[in-house]
Amino acid sequence: MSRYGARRASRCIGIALALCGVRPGAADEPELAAEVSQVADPSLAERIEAPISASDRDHWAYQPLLVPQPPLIAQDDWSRTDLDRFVIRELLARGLRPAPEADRATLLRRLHFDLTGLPPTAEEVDRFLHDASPDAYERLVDRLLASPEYGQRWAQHWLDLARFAETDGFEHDKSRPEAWRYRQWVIDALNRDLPYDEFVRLQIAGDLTGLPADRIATTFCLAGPDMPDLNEQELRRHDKLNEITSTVGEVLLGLQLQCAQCHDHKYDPISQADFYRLRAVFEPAIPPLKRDVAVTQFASGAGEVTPRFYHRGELDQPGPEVRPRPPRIAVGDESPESFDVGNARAAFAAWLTNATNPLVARVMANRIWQHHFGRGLAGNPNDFGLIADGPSDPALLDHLACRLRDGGWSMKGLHREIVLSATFRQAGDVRSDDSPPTAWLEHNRRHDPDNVHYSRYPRRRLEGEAIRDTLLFVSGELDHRVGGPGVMPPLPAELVETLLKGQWTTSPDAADHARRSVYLFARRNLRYPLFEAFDRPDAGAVCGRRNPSTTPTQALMMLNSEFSFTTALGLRDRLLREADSPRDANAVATKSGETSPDRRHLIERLYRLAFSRPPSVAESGRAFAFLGTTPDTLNDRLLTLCIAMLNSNELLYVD
Amino acid sequence: MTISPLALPDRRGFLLSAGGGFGAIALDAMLAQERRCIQAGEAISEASSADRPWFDPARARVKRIIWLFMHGGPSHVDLLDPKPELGRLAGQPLPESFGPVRTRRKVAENPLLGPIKPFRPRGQSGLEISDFLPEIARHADDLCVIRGMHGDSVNHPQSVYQWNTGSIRMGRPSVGSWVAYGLGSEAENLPTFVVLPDPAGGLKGGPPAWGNGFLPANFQGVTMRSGPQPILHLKPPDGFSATRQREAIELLQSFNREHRRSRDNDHELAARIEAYELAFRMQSSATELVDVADESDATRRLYGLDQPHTKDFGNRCLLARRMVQRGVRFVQVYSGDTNGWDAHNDVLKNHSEHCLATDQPVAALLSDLKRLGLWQDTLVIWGGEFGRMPMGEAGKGRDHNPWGYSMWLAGGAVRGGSAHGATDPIGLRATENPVHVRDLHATLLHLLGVDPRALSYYHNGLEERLIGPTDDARVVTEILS
Repeated sequence: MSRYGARRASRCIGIALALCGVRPGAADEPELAAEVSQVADPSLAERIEAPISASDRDHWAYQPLLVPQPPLIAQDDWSRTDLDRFVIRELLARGLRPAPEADRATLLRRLHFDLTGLPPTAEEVDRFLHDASPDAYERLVDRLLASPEYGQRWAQHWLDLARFAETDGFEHDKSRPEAWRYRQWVIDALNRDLPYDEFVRLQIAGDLTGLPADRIATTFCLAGPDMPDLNEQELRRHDKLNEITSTVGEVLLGLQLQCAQCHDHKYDPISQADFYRLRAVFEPAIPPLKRDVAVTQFASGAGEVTPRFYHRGELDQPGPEVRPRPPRIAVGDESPESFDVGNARAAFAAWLTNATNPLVARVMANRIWQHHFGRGLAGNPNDFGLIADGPSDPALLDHLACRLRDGGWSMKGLHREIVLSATFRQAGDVRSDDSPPTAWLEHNRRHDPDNVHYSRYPRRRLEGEAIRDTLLFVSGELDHRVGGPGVMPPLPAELVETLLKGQWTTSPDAADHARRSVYLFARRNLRYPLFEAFDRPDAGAVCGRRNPSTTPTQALMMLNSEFSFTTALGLRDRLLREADSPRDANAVATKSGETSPDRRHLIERLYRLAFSRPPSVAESGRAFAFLGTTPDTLNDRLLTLCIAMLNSNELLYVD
Repeated sequence: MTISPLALPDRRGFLLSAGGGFGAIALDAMLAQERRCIQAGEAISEASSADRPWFDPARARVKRIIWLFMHGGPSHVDLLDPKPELGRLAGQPLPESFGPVRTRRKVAENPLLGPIKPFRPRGQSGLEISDFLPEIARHADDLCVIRGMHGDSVNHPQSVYQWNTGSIRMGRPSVGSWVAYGLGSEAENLPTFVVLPDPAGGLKGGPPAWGNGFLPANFQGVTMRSGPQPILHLKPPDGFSATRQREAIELLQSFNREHRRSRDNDHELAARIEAYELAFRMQSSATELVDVADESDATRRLYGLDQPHTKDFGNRCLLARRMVQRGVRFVQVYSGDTNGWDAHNDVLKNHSEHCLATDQPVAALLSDLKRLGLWQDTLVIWGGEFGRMPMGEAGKGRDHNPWGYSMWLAGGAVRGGSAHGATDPIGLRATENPVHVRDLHATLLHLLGVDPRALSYYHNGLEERLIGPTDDARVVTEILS
């Protein structure tokens, strides 16, 4: 109990005490645990484990996944999709009303960033704002989901979970020259809407299909940090297997297993034996390691090391032999014999995505929702255990999980339902210039202050990767090429100096420096500075949710870095260039014979590019006044205006 | 009933909420409040929570920490832990009674190597320190040497991580990040946690050593250097004057204020407005900080800024002092490039070089803290990621030794002129009053007024702590004054 902080403890003390009281074999009883390690009989470890009780199985996350009936709401003229009916039920039950639909410019920008991580082009802004056809939004959704930028965007969410980097970490942080192929695999899998069950199966056991392309997917398991020069290679293997086990548990099952490496989980019904049985699934795939040799793929064939229980998680305290099997709490009532221990990894991969497994679908549906709304229905995406925050609306989560599972595990299908929903299309906490807060907003703020019930769309800051891509996009410099090994744009010398020699060699082709962020070489020991400043996780561990921070370091980088300044110059020059030869049908034509570009036209275009909307009359007037009328100050003033807009909250946040 | 958004407010409600003057005043008041909350490296959301049940300022013995990190692993048996028995056994193999030894480079069978330089009792306390460190030795009565330190790995990066984050694995928050999270900011226009890396670079384990791990990025260590650009991207780019930058910021802030006016409940937007103002102020405060021209000649000489061999480390020690004077809570100063104090081949050569570069500046820092009245509430830490083996390597060198080694603490909160704990007679393992790395972490937090068991951050289903999940870590109360 005492290892948990007071803040949390006060919340869960009841649960914890109840569990401690009824759970024999918990880690607080070292004598009992010591006995286990003495015993040669493998079955004994099983016997002294506390059985999974009916009350353990009562926890929401472990319940069978049954299709919930969307609620019938009288005179519901708001809902567009089934999921809306769950949302509106919760809103009405709390006396809340949904926000009105966001305006079209907001929807366009929101949808673009959400699905592709890029803003719309200026032309798209005009086209969409003038498209009066009833299915304009649906067509936009389908077009964006079909674009290659969708996979480039959503792959990063998965790569955060895969603690993906292209180097080892630790002292030498050596490159993994083939690691980019996994990133490519994820992007491609998302773009061709590889069903999630297959997506998971291949990442666990793709090497067993016989197709080389599938083998790459198992990099997921091996993508964590590694120290190949460790003296004790057995310890390296031990750590690696433990890390794979924990990763699989939290990413795919929402189970926090790593505590169970050393002792039975204090709160959740996960025993230490559960941990080592799951680890046994991967044990044959990792043969004894050799110093300075990277582990890039799973080995085939029978394991050379007997899978065991390790007392206190210590390699030098091996316990009884264990047989591979998924954690008991996740298995339901199936008998252990039903698990094919002879082909454990293939069996595990199949078991994970079996239609009766409730966790895999719930966990992924929650993640997808989280990336559309900034927060999951269950607030702890990697932990569906007892002390984590349960779902704010369990029926809605089950609805989404069933849609994923029963919709052929199509992730695009789930995205589509979510972004077409009235819930997603709501206005955020925003109103137009100088108007008062509307009554619905006041009301929703008061009664749903944290927006737990989705009574409005939550404002979200762009991730570092999207900020970089956006700056390149609006300056017209983004290189849209897809795929290939990671590229290295220039870094400040001060940062390169913190690395070992030769660890960052700027890509010789300058065009590579403007590739999309997902293609930047991911060095574990040095994140790209803009990404690091804007909360990219460090690939040392699984990250299910980034922590958005607000720091002066970010401001300095956005104001002063060579990258930001260059993109501001690029944007300025693009505006001037395009003003010389206007392509934009809506642009104000320059008067013939006029030597300087039309300032109103520049401003119009700048707003469309940077903010994905036309300026208001007042904004246009102010910008016009700022630019001044003398031709020789235009270049300087326009650059200042570009810098200000690229740094502005309107660009960094999505309403 | 149909479900539609509520009707627009009536005229009276409109007037009440749309009074431009009131709105403007409210915004200013809010910004002023947030200015107080969001200091360098501190997010509004964290600051306003005031939820730090682990922190009791009344119990704090120190307010700030300067950590002199001797990267590579200085040799305790040659610097701080006198081992006459090692001298007597020099040339012989390790006696069998010591059992098997885990080493990095298979040196267990090598003959023992006697202490390289003589030790002498120093000061009134008689604390023994070797001739490698003549200047630090003058402060013997101020030093609290822990001679029974031990950690868990024979490898550099793992031990660097363990000292910095409590874990031999990658990816956990560093001590400085925990301190920034646990105490909040004191400095007006500077970060809470600053790292001064060795300009020769190449820390084994890299920048993750001062990373924030799963803590929010605003608690990350900010790297500072001397020179015109002390913080990365501090200055406007070439060709863009400070005047024009101010103009850009003013324009930007007018956009941001207008943007926020129609989103007037959003603290995060306000925090970002303030972050830009703070960034602007940091341009002068950080520049002023690293400009030591206003220090007297005597001070500059004290730190060795006038000598080529001490200039660099002396400058960084002086910067560390200037930082704590300005309210930075946690400063780490690294000595040693990729190899640093890692004396595998020749302890005499390696340590002579590194002691020459650091001995005088470190001593100067101790004197200076006293002179300026900062001694009582500043803690100075000196140590590497591990010590070195009593066996020789390559003749005159030594391999890594995490099983028993020394470090020292100084400042008003610890017992000066004392040695705590001991290694065995040859300095191989900690035997008396051993202090594990996590014990030292607990002690640091304790001195700052933080309960090490209570300082936690909820992440992935666990209340994560610097001292780890178990309560083995103990505050080393014996060394406290």
